[in-house]
Amino acid sequence: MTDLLTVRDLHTTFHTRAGDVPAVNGVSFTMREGETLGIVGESGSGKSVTALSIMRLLPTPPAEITGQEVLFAGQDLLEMSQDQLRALRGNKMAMIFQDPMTSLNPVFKVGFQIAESVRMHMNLGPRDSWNRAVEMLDKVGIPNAARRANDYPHEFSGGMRQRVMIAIALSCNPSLLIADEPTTALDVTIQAQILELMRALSKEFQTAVMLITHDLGVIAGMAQQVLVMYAGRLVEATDTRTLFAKPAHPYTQALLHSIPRMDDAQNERLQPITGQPPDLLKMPVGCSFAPRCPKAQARCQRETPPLVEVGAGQRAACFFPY
Amino acid sequence: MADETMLATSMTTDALLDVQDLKVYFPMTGGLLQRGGAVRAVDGVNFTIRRGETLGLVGESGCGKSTTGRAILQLIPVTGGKVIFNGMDITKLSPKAVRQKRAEMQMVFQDPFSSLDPRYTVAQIIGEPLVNFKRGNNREIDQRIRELLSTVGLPTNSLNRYPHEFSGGQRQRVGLARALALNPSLLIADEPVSALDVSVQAQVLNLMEDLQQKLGLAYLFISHNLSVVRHISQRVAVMYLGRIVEITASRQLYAQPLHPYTKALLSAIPMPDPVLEATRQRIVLAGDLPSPVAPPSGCHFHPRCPRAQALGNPERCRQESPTLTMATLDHAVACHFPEA
Repeated sequence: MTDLLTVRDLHTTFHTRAGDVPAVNGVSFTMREGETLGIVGESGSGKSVTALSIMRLLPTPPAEITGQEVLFAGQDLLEMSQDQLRALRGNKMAMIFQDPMTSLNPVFKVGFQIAESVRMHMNLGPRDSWNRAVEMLDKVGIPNAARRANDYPHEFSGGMRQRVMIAIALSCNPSLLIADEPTTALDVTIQAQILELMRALSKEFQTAVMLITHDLGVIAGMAQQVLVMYAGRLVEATDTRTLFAKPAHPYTQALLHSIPRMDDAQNERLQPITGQPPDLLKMPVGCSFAPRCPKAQARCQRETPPLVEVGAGQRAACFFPY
Repeated sequence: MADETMLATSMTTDALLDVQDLKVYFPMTGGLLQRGGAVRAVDGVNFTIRRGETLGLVGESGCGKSTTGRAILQLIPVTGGKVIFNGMDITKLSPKAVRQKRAEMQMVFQDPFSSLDPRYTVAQIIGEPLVNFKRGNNREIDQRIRELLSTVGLPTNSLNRYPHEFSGGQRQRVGLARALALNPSLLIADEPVSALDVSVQAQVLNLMEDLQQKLGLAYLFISHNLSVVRHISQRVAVMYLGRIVEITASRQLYAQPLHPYTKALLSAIPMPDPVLEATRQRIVLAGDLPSPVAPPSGCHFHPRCPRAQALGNPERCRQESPTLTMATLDHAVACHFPEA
């Protein structure tokens, strides 16, 4: 498998009246073709901003995106003009969001909305692009696709709307699909349907998926590689099995211990992480997890640990891993 | 309702709350279409909660779990049935008497951002019920507020601060302190940790367990998160489209679910274990949740039911609504063809 996306030292800072917010702070990683990469973290950890920065979908200002490079299929996205980006977005890279109601336009038929992106990027005429839209609706498991293409978004349920979003995203055969909490707004039985669909389609279309979620269970079932983010930084990066079997960073360990699991001894007491994630406006010096870390020592309050190899294919930003 | 069902849902010995055949219908009148009829949000629900016990109420959106919680507190009009709290049917009480009863049963809401008044200080928020119910003079109320703050683990310097100065987890502690102000014996917690980050969720769950131990509280814990419900509840009821489809001890429900819907629900939960996820058999239900405006005939679950499909869609599932009946001692299920 070859590298599809290489991100080197990505920084995204929001300039606000209250001060500069370092939402993404020196993130580096690589994604291979066809692979599913999970990004986990709590709210405000910078996982969505990382994805939006790669797509360059953030308004600048207030955002400022800097970095060494963001290579996508050999091209540096940070160097591209808005026109070049527009040709790429929705075509070679596509994105789906948490809330499928607000991402669809309520006044256009869903068939039209799928056909629109096909027409823009694949140079097909109105009839061919409509046929492609119907074909995609059928692919994502919407019954009576030919008839349903004439319906408006409000005539679909939440799960069905997310299927429509996936149909739009995959209509031009993208090599990268960014899915930002795609099932968080859905009920658990509907979530199972959508995850099943994403698994099948990413296999069929050979699409690499960047899956952003706060749910470690979703990561376990979907991703091959995982990035763990905390307060704008990458704290651990490894393959999924290693992450759950042998987490290196104390934050990852604490996160795994703090969730109630279906297979634990039922009345076992949860081990919460004490305190709160830091305020990005007042980031502590040194490791940002140090104030909540049970293993923190004097060095952790002074220096920021770099993300380094701690095991085979496992990187962690911690002076005292495992 | 069969006698044996009563045994399943109400081990009446020490029942604090006994909900009998509770119905909440929302009439569909007015509007452009002038539709008649009613949405049967809660359609004949039975369960009991013993003193100091946690009953988990799970189900997907629109199944009526929140409406059930609100109806118990008489926050919305009840269409039928009884809510017997401490031996008294509170659906028959005057509004004034209901208000007095509410001191003993309080609610904790999901969103700690919208359930606290932004213009009130923490002391005012926690003190409001104490003032309303005239629980002592200013000095005594102030004393009680400080006591409550320490009970929920907030520093005393929080008193004169406003909700926006607190994180989600801390706000939920303020919400708990307010709910506990009048020494209730029952807390109805509607998705109390769903808006919180996972690392903070555990703090609030542990606090709720500690409070239960210390104050002998009973909880009705309403949630869509089955892992959280399993952790905190002694008994669990599963709802689907306004009805309880299964109710039993938490351990029993997760080890040996009997209703096909419960089985599907449990198998749909993503587990934080990649090895298990790779090998596990999932029951993926086809189709969407039906609208509660026009629920399917007979058993509400039959159009999506894998068990009914395996049996060749029996007539009975389509025609006849199954009643909640005892399968084993303290394990009731509403299914014509339950399978262990």
